[in-house]
Amino acid sequence: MAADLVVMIDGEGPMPGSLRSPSASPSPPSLGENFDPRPFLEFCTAHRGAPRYERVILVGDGQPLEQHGFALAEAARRGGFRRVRLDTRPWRLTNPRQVQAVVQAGVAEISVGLHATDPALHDRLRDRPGDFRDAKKCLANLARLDAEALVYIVMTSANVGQLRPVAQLAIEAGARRIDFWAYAPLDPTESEQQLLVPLDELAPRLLEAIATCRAAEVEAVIHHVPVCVLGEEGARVDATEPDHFHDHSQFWAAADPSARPRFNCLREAQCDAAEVCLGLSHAHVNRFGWELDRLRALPRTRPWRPRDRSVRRVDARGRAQAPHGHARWLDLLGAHAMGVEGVALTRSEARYPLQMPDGTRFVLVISARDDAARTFKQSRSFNLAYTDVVGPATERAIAAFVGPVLDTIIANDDGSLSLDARR
Amino acid sequence: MFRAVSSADAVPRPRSSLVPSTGQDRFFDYCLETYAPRCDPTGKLRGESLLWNSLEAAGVSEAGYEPFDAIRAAAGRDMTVFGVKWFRARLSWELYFYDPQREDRQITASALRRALAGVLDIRPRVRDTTRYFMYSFDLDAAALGDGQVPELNVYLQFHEGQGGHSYALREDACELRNTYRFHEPKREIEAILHQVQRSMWVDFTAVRVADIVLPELYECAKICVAKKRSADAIYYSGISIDQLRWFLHRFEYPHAVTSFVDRHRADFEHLMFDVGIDYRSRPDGSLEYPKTGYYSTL
Ligand code: SF4
Repeated sequence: MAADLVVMIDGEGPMPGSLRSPSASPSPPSLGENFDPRPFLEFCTAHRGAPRYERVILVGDGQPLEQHGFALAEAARRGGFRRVRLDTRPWRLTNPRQVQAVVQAGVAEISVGLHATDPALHDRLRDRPGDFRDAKKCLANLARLDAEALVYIVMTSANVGQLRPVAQLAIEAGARRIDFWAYAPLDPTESEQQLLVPLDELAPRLLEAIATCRAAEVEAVIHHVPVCVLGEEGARVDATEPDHFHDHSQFWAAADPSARPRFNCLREAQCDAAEVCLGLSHAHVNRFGWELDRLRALPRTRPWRPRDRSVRRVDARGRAQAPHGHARWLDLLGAHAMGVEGVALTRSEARYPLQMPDGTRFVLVISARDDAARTFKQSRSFNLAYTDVVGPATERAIAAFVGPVLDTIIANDDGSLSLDARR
Repeated sequence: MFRAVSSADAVPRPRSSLVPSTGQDRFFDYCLETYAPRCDPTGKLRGESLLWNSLEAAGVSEAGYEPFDAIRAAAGRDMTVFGVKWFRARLSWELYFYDPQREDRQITASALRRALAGVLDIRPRVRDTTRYFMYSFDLDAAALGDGQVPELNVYLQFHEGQGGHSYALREDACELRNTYRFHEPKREIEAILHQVQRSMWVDFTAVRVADIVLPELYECAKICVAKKRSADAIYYSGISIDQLRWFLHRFEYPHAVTSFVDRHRADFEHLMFDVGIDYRSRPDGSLEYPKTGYYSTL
């Protein structure tokens, strides 16, 4: 589970690593018009008793933030989150008194995008005149208070030549940490595609900027850049993703993975860094190809495992819901379902791998009831048997072990499940 | 014997494209290999809904649905893989029947031929002793109208590895159509790149691998590379509903298909889908995708 939890209050706030707010994207997430703070407030009450997240990140910049921001920050601070972060646009934080009120409500970290040393370029990248001026004012306000300014720089073809001076500017403005994000647009327009930077241009300039942070002892974190092009600084790559708080009515779109940029690397299974490296954004691959000449897989020291591609769900209390898969076929086993390693349904069988305490493994096989076939036991609709035994157990021991499982199936088989393909 | 069907005489189809999932559903990819659904299927839709939607999108009338109903009755629920093909701005269909172990005597090519008599006339005959592991046939608007199936595709498997050859069989002819091989995308990427880059149809001085090994589909369960008579092809199996949506938009399927899948995104999220893309270089060196298709089970 992630250490951070994102709460999208509205679609106006800046998402980490992006230049624009989600509402400015071609397919904005359809966040609820009227934000209802109650699910999150309830979550905070539960979280206080059993804290699971280190940090909450409140994201917003619209009317719902104005209306609920303070209450949410205070609830989060009381709700067991050690850090409360606000991601909003800097114009909201140009007034020192406003910043003070936000900090007093419990917000300890505020992230500010700074993308160029020259205001015109920054404003153009943000698509908002005056944003550079506001960002600098916001940083100056934060410097006066006990709030951490987290500066992030989105690296594009337009500003890649000035990464080091931007980092220097952020350091001078009091940044406690600088996050460097490779630009990774979702469904980029042609002009957005032009902002992508090939790796051989990006890596050396990023490394110079990192050296500047290192010299100033300011923490630098890198996102969306392949570990293997960064040498020792590859250790700074952070590919973790915060969890998104949502309840289905309001936050479905915010949790929709299709609404976020995706990444891949063709060398993933061969590379030891694959678990901490996302590879390249799809936008990048579509512009520059897979960059196979530049990526160098680091020899693997542990086995690679394919990703779990089941749909993750978090309930209103933030508990991860297990994917149900073949739920009814597992239900057939009652409490014994806990002891099987899943179920595979084939054309004619349901197969449940089982392991006994002495390590003996076998597969419990249920197939369509056939009175003419030899079988171990029968339920209303099925023949029940076991096969593929590997291990020391005797037949008698296996029969004793599997007996209660089969009895449960017989009791639970009400005829509503079938392995007859023609039903 | 067969009723003519065309979009011109289309009558409104009384049943809905939306077929709800049941607790009995089994989940197979387009090789009829089982997978665990990605989440609880309760309250969601069966993959066959995509087939009914495509028939509706193509303007097929009620009578044109009959062969599909008959196929399902003969082969069994979940047991037929269907492909919806998009070629020259027309939708057509392909039905695939697997039984590598010959577990089911009712779906040998000859048994199916008998079972469908009166609905579809499958003209070519395959000997039951031929050791095919799968066969398929195409249905387009014309075939749905006259009930004639002049060609069967018969698939013979390699000894090792997943893959094989396919032959097009007609009453009076049989010819090799394609050779294909499946790979695990991540563990076997070198083999995939090798297969893709050895091509009679693509000029790789002008085409990037990334336009064939597509980043949006790379996160999948299997990639199959095929060499065909007039193009190469790549198949991605075990993709999510979001990847399928991307695919349908990317390859410009009819609005009636894309909007249906977009609208029912959440209803299909428990399923995995499969897609195929034929590709080749144009005379000017750029890449074209003459034919694509998506798959699920009936
Ligand atoms: S080879 Fe791929 S996974 Fe490994 S570090 Fe490079 S980009 Fe990341």
